[in-house]
Amino acid sequence: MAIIKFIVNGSEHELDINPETPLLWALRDSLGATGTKYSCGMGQCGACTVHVNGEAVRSCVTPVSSVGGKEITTIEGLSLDGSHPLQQAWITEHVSQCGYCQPGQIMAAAALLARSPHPSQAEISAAISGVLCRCGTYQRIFKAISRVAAEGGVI
Amino acid sequence: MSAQTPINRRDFLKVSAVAGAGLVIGVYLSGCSETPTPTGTATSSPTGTLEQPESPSVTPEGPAWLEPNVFLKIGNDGGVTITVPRSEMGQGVRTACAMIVADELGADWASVRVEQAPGDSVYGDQHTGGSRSIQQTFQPLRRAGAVGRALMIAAAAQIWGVAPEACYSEKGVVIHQPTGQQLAFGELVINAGSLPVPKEREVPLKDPQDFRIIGTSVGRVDNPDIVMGKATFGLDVRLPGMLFASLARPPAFGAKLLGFNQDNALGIPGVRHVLQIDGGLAVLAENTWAALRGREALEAAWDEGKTDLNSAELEESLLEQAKQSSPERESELVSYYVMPFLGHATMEPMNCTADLRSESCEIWVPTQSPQDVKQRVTMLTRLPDKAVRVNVTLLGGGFGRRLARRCRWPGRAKMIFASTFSTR
Repeated sequence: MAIIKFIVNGSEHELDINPETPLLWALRDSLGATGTKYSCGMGQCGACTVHVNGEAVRSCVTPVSSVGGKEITTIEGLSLDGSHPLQQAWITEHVSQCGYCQPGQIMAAAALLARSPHPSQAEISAAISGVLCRCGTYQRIFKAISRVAAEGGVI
Repeated sequence: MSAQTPINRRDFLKVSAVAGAGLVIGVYLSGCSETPTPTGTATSSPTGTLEQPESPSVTPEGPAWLEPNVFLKIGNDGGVTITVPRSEMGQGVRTACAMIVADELGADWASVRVEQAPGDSVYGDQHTGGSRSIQQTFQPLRRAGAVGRALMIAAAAQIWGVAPEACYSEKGVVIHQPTGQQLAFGELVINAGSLPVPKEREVPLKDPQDFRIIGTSVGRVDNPDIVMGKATFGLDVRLPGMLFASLARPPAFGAKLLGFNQDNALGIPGVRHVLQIDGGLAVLAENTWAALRGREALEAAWDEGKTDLNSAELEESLLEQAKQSSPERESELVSYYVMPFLGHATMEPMNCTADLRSESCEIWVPTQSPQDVKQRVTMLTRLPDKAVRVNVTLLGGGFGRRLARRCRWPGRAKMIFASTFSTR
């Protein structure tokens, strides 16, 4: 066990935890933030995508020891009220079907737009191709990201 | 959740039902410590016992709602709560079913709130599969809404002293056609509660050309929650003090457990128990990661299972059957397509949460067949039907994988207070 301190959605947290614990389980089980999803558990599907210091990472294969002192943003912290342009675009474009992968999709998209506010189609494809959607909502995900990029990106 | 929350059940300790008419009056007793479990999302449910006072106490200024059938509640604040009997796995059924009831009722869509029905025979067949939900629920849900409409109109007509036939409902109000006078649903609830509930078959349904909500694009009711990470899937259900279980299941069809060593698993911090269950082993731990690691640390020996099965013979046998069933035609285009045997892998792993007590059992499960789950739990626990509640969460994918009528439960489920069961 080890004491790990990190910031989640703006709040400081200190956990006495096995340092090998994946960030996903620190978020879901220790902190009760269940918006970040568990699916493959092997870093293959992207449902667990969160931001660590602004970079999209797979939280299921990121040991909590590696995020000490860092800033984590989860889907719950993207906005307080669902007002993030991507969240709004997701609703406008009726993106979600079952919705399970969508927190990961949105976090991947948010990281993309933060580093590239007006991404090319190829950049969008590259960013979202790693997050699996079993319902097949990719076309609408693409439209939602393109909409935000066209409307001025993420502030 | 859609729009507003007209009635917060957390505020009510006692709920009384006026027999017959189905008017329900909520009585708020402040200062009481006993409160029912929160309700209102797709995933949580009231577990508190609803007491029946000896005489119904009606407080006209307090919250009240009309409940003409199991699918519909109309509050005296104008809020309309629609209970959806089918499981949501991305097909939009929670929205579609609510639209059907709301349209026949003549509701204002903005005042509609959706609740998820638990597994119960009162809702009719709840199996959600085969793309048949709307086909099967369209008429029953229309009738449920139409009964509500008839009651609202009857109450308004009585107040005005006019013929019900001269009135119609739209956007949450009843309108008297000749004079144009209006009364909102919320204002009619108390009066409607003293009227007999009309028989479903005797209530006329709308002419489809009068549909106002059906056929429009209202947006999925779950979308706001989904994009904020607030939507509750099965794996997101948390109970105080719960344990997490991970199952070690046979590596081949029909494989039997020959033996196992649990020492390494029990050595992992957080792992509490290893149990042998029907068809495998369950590792119970204080958190999910410990349960997953504990399962990996188990040493288990299995036999080879059904060794008479192999892919080549299976394919050949299926192809043979396909050929035999080819119809005789004058001209034929024959083409065979072979797909591998695939698992219907859902993004959300199979899981279930159970709160088993000596006299009750409550389940939260992303399932396509909640009534089957209820039947199975009732059989396993030997609890009476009414002591078992099966709540249906959102499903992180279904594809029929969650329709399976046989669910595996630990044979010693009653030893477990609350656990999440997953495929992993």
